[in-house]
Amino acid sequence: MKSALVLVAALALLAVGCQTSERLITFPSQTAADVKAPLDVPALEKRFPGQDGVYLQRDTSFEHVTSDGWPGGITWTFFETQTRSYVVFNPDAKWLSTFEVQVSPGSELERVALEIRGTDGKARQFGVGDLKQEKDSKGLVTYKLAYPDVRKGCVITEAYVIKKANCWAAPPLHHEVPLQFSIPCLQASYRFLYPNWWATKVKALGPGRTLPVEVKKDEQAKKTIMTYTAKDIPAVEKEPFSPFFKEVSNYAEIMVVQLSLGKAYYAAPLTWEAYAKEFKGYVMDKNPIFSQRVDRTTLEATQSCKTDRERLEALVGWIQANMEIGATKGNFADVLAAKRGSVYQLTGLAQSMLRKAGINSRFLLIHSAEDGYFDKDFISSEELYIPALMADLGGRSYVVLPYAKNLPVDIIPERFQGQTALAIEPSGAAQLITVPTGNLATNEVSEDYSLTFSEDGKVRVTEEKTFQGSNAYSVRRSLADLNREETEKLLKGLLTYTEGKVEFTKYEFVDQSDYKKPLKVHLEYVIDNLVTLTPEEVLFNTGGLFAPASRLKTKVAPKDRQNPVRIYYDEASRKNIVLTFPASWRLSRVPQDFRLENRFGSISGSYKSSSRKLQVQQALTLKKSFESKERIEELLELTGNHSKLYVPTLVFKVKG
Amino acid sequence: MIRRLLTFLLAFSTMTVASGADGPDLSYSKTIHYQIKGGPAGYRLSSETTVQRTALTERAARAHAFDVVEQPFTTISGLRGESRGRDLKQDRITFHFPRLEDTFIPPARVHELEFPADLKIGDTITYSWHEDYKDLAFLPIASIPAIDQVVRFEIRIDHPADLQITFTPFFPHGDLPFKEDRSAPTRTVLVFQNLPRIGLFPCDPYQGLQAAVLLGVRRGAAPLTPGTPDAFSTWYLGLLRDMPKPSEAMNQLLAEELRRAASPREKARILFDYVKSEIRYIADEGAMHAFVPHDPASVLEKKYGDCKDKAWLLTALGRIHGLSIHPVLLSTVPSPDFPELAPGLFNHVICALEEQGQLTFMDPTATYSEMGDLPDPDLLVKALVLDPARPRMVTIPSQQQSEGVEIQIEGDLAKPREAKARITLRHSWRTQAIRSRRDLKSMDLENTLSNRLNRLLAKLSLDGFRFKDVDREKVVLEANADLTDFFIRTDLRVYAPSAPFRAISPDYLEREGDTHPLDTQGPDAYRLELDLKSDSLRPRPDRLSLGRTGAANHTATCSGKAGNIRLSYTFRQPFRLLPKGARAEFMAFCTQYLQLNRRLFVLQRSES
Repeated sequence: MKSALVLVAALALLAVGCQTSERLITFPSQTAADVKAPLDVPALEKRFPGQDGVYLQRDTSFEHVTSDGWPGGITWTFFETQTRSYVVFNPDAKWLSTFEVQVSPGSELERVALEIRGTDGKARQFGVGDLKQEKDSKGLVTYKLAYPDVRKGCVITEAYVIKKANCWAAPPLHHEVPLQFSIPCLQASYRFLYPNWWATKVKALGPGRTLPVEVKKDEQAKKTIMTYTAKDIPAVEKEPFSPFFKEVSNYAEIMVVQLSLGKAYYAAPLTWEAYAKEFKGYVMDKNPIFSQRVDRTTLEATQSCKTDRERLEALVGWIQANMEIGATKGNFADVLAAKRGSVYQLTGLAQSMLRKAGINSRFLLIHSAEDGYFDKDFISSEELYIPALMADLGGRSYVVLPYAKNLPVDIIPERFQGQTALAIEPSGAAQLITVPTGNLATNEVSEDYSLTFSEDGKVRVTEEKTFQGSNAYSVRRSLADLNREETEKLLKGLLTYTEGKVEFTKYEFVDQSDYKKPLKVHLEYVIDNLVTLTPEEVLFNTGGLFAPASRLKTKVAPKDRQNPVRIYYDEASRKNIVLTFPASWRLSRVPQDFRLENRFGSISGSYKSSSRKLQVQQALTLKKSFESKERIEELLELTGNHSKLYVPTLVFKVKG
Repeated sequence: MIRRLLTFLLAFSTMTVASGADGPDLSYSKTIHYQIKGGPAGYRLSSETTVQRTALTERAARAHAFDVVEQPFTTISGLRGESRGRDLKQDRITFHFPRLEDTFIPPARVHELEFPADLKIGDTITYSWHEDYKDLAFLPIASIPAIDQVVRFEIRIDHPADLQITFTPFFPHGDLPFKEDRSAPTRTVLVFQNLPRIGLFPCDPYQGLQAAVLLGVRRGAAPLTPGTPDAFSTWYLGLLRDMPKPSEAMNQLLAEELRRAASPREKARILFDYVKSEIRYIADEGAMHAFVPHDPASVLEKKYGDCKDKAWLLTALGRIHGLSIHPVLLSTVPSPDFPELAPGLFNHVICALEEQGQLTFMDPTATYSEMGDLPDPDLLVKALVLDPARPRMVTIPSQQQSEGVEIQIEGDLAKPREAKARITLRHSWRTQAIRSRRDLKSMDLENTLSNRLNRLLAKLSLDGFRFKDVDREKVVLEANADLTDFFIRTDLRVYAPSAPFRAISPDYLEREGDTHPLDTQGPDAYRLELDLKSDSLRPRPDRLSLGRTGAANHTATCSGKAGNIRLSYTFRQPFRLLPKGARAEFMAFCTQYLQLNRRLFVLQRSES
């Protein structure tokens, strides 16, 4: 798709004016010696405990340079210049103690200057001749260097320039740079330089939150210089229940929206409607004029269907099962003949087949939560690129992904739920909509257990786990392509009891291949090391049975939390447990009913005891949420590693 | 953006209907045709390899991309493929340099053949390639994979008539039939046909391997492949003959400390400490350095290297100071148990200090290990000591007389959440604790220590760790111990477990019915002692003992008197691969140990 869109952009380069802009970014002369000395390494390490190092400074510069080139033409060159200095706290952190850069075919490593300065002040420099090169068969070159004598407290300075000499074939019009890193950074900057007659757009990072850039013009060099600087940037922390990186961190995402070079001119679409019109020509208007292959295939795939819902499932399922992903030239008949198409072509084909089956749908391009905030004014294929179809049937909106193997029509992957999408009508009319939140199928895992105790302490267990919605899809994915032996191994690994010798009497997946139904795991087994018998008492080691629906197995320090709390979709886990025991046993103490509810969901347990039986219901529900980091303690009340539902042992008295 | 879309698609593209098939997926044939040319002045080795894969199920038909991995000692050329009667286009044959977790500069390329994705059940893919070897000694061990239906596996060696070829097979899962053909003086052939399918066994150290064959070449009585310790040592050290003499920096290194050292052993320790902690681990395996170490002088200058670089540096430094330190080759994963040697049998290099015939092993790659205290993967494996004067095979002893984990707990049973623990960690437990303290932030360190210990002692919750002492033998921690789940309280009495260690995997018992090798993931040894106060409880004295010294064993004791209760537990499992002949005894031990879940110690309420 990207190459196709680039092609669209390249074709839009039309004849207009002619100009030149000079190169301004010079190769950095800064070395570690320029870093304000002396560095107080112990103080830095104390300030950033547990970090492998700290960036003293980091700069990324992107520059477009144009000049008169071959007769009558313009040379357009793009330079990426990276400079960074960092202190190493952990010399064994290879990503800090080595240098590695990849250069794509069509680009070259123009210059490189590396330096390591030891704690004694002595420095060693390295250039491109010192780097080891690995060039693969596609022309990708990787340059590598392992720094010598890396010790705690040494300062490494890296600077290099990657030059893309000919930008006409694949114009670099979109740029993205992370501005928060895996270690802290004292000073970061980003510069973007481009001819001053071009126009650019910076993506907003959130509602009312834009990247604070300064824009200057250099009239002599005919350059616009956009600069971002920041200080004391904390490291990106990986924490449970965290949003995606681009939802919380700073990054620069910039696109060129208008340029002219010599006789060439390009303008990005100004509205999403205009974008949709360009897109429509690429994958929606590809019906064959003469071939009947699409009609015939539609008819064959839907001949036994009675309702529109059945036709939707049949056609989407047919494409998922029979078509491979990979771009094919031609119209939909050609795509069908090749049994292969890009994800956009397959989605367009599905729309065409649905239309022939009497079902109208809109072509969606969905924004992914991974891409952070959706800026409706940043009209770029980088913002909306997940293809899907939306069909309204019987009062329900179905969002389907025809290229996603065996994804049921009523499941929307969570990263797309609630996100913005561009909905394109067959006519080309388009509007931004919101993808429905929550699956139509519920995201619930339920577990049913029946345990029957015999007088000798053996326990016969029947387990049935039921997965629905996205959970069923995830488990089915993990089962994909396993043979029977491998499936059995995985199945046995799902049993709750893991501390003893288990004799299986039955184990199976139920409805593994029927994607329209919940997926069930059915296990029956006998286990004989969980019950201790004494003349007066029976002790049942519950093993993992009453292990809570705990999601966090480790402790979390709320005061150290860096990220907001994110739960992407509603979900629930329920356990229904029935214990049947001999008449001579009596439960000495029935656990107390319990329920806790807060903004993130609820956790509950109820226990009903009768003669020879204990019935238990435990549940955890989590609600789609985006809350401040201070709320993490409330979430831990539900999901923390010490659950209130945990019952390690049940004690029975023996009637005597 | 495209990367994210590709990731998303990759997740979906692997989603296929499980075959559910009982039979084999694939029928597989491989022919390796070696050619040995030349004469006593120098032999040249090359090979042509052809692989045929016939899809028997849909899932096998979906596999259409295959790797051919170049070895550091070979050059691959002439890759070609064919499927459904069509030759594979050359632009579908690519190569790249692999990204390996432990290797900064990879040793060689990986070639990939991507066939069209239109295969059907019954279709056959054929691909072949040529290899030129740098040395006859690199004649590789042939591995027959445990994949489905191996229809034919043929090794054909064309050679001068005065050479003799030997085949030494290794069958980890029971003997397999094979045929040798020596009817022609210049061709020797070994063929396996229609091998039975091997099932999946838990804890199988040779999972994925159906057979391995060691190939040997002799001319009369003279071996041309280095199969004996002497031959291997001569050949391997010959590869290093151009190594420069020690540099001035090597000669001067640590001169003052070494001068003050009281004994050769102390000198060795000073040098070992330096190499393990000052030379960081970075593997540059380009240009044959997957086999041959870099010049020790350059390793010292750059202050980085891989296992063999560090081992050779330590050896060279030792020799400068008159120490008998030898490099030692071993494999950290179980390798085929052949009576002879080959380069492919080793994947790691450590060192040994020899004093009066005794070897003290040390692993300079393991930054926090000590002399004589090796990381677990180095233990109980066969190793080649590259002593130029007397190269020899040895088995590296476990060297673990003391427990890896020793926990002493004191507390009051009336306040089970407030007990205090003193934890002594040794061997790999010690090194991991030191590494965790260096690498992790406070809560991650807490979680790492807590999880690791709680995996061993499921019902004992330890947290709030404080490092009290770190020395060459041990790490001592203090921690809070929560005994709430350790004891079961009823109206009548309190119960304590008799087997608190989660040290035996129930998976072992699935292997009761076969005789194939079993990886018992040892050696391990643990000790737990609890000294508890309780005004209202008195122990019912009890003691149990499972197993015996020299094999897996466990003891548990409940003793003391009213007010002072003592519970004491030990566990020792001395094996890595279970020795032949020890199977029945080990299985009985495992069964009895797991049954101890039902056997509890009793603390009587004083009034009862």
